[in-house]
Amino acid sequence: MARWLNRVEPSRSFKRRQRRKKQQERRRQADGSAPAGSSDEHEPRTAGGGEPGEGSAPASRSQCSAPAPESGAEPLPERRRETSPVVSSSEEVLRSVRALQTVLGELRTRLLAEPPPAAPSEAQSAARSTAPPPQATMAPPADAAEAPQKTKEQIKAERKAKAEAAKLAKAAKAQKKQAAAAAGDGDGGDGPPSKPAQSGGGAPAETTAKSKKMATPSGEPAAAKPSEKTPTLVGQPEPEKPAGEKPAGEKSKAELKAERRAKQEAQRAAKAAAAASAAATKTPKAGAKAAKTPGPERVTPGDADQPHKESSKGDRRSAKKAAAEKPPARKGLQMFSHLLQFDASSADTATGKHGVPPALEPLLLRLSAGQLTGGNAGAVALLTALADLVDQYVTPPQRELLRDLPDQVAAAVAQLARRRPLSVAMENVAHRLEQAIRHEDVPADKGDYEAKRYIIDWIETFINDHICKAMTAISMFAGQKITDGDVILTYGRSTTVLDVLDAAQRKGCRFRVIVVDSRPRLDGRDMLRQLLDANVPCSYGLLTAIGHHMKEATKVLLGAQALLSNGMVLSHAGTALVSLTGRALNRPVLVCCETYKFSDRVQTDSQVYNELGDPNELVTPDSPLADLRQSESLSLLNLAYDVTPPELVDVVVTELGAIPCTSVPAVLRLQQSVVY
Amino acid sequence: MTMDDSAVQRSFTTLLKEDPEMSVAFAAINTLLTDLETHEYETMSGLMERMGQLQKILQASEKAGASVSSGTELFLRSVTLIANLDKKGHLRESQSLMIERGRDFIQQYSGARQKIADLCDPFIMDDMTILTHSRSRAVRDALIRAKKESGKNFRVLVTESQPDRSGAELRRELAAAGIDCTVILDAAVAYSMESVDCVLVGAEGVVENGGIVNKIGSLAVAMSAHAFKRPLYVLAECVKFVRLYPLNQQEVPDEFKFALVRPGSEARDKTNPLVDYTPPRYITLLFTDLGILTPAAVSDELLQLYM
Repeated sequence: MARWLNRVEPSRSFKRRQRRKKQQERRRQADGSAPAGSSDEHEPRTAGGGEPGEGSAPASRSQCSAPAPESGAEPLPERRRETSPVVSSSEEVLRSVRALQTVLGELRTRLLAEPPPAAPSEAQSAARSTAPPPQATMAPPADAAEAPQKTKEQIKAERKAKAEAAKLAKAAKAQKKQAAAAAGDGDGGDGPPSKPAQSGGGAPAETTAKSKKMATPSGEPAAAKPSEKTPTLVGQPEPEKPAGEKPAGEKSKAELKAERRAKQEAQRAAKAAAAASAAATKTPKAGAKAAKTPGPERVTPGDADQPHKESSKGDRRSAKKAAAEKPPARKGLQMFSHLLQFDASSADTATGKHGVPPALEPLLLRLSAGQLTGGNAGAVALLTALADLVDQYVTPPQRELLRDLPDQVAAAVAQLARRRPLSVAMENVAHRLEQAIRHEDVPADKGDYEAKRYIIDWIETFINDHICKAMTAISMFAGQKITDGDVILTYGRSTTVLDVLDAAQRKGCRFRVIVVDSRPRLDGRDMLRQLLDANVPCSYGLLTAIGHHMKEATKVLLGAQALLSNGMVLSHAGTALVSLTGRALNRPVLVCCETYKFSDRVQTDSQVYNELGDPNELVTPDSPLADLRQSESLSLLNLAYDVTPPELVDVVVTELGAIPCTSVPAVLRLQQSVVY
Repeated sequence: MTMDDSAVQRSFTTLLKEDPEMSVAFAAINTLLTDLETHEYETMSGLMERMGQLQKILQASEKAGASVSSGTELFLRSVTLIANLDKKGHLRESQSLMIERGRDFIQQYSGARQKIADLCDPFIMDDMTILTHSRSRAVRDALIRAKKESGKNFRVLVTESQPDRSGAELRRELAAAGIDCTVILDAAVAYSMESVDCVLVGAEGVVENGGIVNKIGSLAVAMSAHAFKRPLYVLAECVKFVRLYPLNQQEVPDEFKFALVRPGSEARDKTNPLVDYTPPRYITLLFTDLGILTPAAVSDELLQLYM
């Protein structure tokens, strides 16, 4: 989980390096030297890093050692300013971003725990994290450099090679299927980590022409490594872009694609003809069934050809989406047809049709890979990506930064939201940023550089104050509610709850925790492991046995995705059941939630707004029901959230103190009056 | 220091003795104000430190309850708000400003009980049977106002309210005002509930979630009313809003729950609690000088008062 920060963050430092390289090239071109030299210079370094831990990290560090003198010494930026004022100023902005990175690094350690061992990239990050002290200005960009570099490069490469990328995506999807089959219990999908291996192998073959762009992916052993260990990996899937495997499969795939298309067309035509009167309703449904999400469900595991069929479907779907056609929901799920249907394919990104600005691409990938499950993690990742966006922003001629940039931010987030459902926390922070640019005293009259630095500072402060410090305050307030002898029941995984329990443990409080978990996400296991690491005595059980667990408990401590204006608590599906049981047995229910997650939205059920998860998580390929997934009368619904009515919650612990959940509007008013 | 402590506590208790109508919170606020008026402070931090000390001393005194902490806290907040505004000025000027503000504060809140009585008046109707628990001055004033000024005829059942039999005292006061009043046993609350139309209680403290801390037995009365679907109205001044969020009886601090073993000592007799905590779900409405509030609105008001 902690890897996400590595991944998003350093993309800026990478970009800076890229920019510098381009300048060097330009300069060299001006001097008459060959531009190819610089790219060659880059290539062997990354390609040479065979061993992820030892090889590539030092390599990248040596790359990054370049910015070191520049930040300290004055003359260099000045020189650059001569060549290109825009670049130099944004580079200075980047320096202030580095401060943000230190904050995030700190947060990373607190907020996110590394998933269990075995992943080399983790060993790598651990090795890295020991090396750089957070204050060292040079270290953070250096230590985190590789990962985003990969994605970035890949993104670029793949965008260039759209045609290939579509194929690659299919192959990757096929792979994901296989990996999921291997993982078995829907353990968070071990599939994706195997993708990079293919990208390593496949990319160079396909893109010999684009030597520079593809150079990095080809020399991407850090990412390629995990694939070898796929079965042992338990962590979150890597956001790496899928890339082609099996050259053999590509032929059949093309055939199958055409075949399927023809078949569907025929079906559609037949149906339309058969039921002329009912055509209006039936045809779209049939079309939708073919084109829509549940696509993956139909795959029979073990069938080698199926995955390709699958991905071809995914392709057509993405094309349809691009045509802004909203597919009606599959039978039985029409209640949820208004929600963004689950779509695991990264084909959207690969084909570059997503319309999400480059700064937000890594985030989209990680969202697609289902990596950002926590509210706080999502919010921080979005803010960081938006900092990137701000950093890359250049005011277009005839426009004002203060008017244009908020629109850009809003548009970028809207584009993202069209691809992936955004959590309330993410929506809120994006809105807050927009408002801040509009209403705070951004020094726009001092030029883009000053304004951008101000905004990025604002983001940094926001993360620090409203997320980091808020979590500390919550753990303080909620810690007062935990007394010796308590048995705390918690559900799923919440970084805030984890913080509270950890703080209480360190305070010397003697209590026990019951971690209640549920399929399909089973993220309580992560929680359990981290609690055990903190020496908190724990027991573990599933939601199905909540009646028993609740009897043992004295208090219920829950996290939340959002608090709605009518006091409803929007949280991980199953929370309502836990609170209901808590109320039934008279156990006080405490919800921990930072106030930035408070929403002015009103919702009375879990249907108006929700997130649809991967339906395959419900019927895994090895499940005895696997063959029934193709059944017409079966619909799979994997809802991410539910809402808990305020009567079931005794107290919400926020950084402002303990409040009843009916006080959300009061806090929102307070925020409005304080902030603006 | 200890001499000083006892002197402060004595002046606090004499204030209460001299004017039996004065609420504990106001006596505490008055004590703080007197200290402000009589002492001259060198620094602002010294002043604040002293005020904090006084708060603790008062809290430890015999008659203190939940409202002492809430009242003094609120007083200090409103007073220091002024001080912050006037940071640049001379401390003496600030202090006189604070004194002025303190007097205003007392002025502002001294009419609270009357205001509550006015708000409560429409809820008391002819031929009603009203149950009340223990002796609350706010409830007494409201009932007397409804009888004398609005000329309503109603019947009042007062619980005996052991251990101090404060119900008997309320009966005397109400009877003097010509109200038909009966004392019932504490154990007879549930028995009488079916003939009761509404329940009025006071509060020693109103906690953040809208629940109340009140004389022992209030919870039983509230639960009984809830079971019989009778409305329970709480009458309390807003100086009694405490920054406290109990989840159960254990989380109510001991200094609210238990009496001192003997006056001036730190030790408390923990055999029988004097107060209990009534959760907000048993409360229909709260009548305060801020207006009529639902329990949920208390937290909103507290956020405004303290943020």
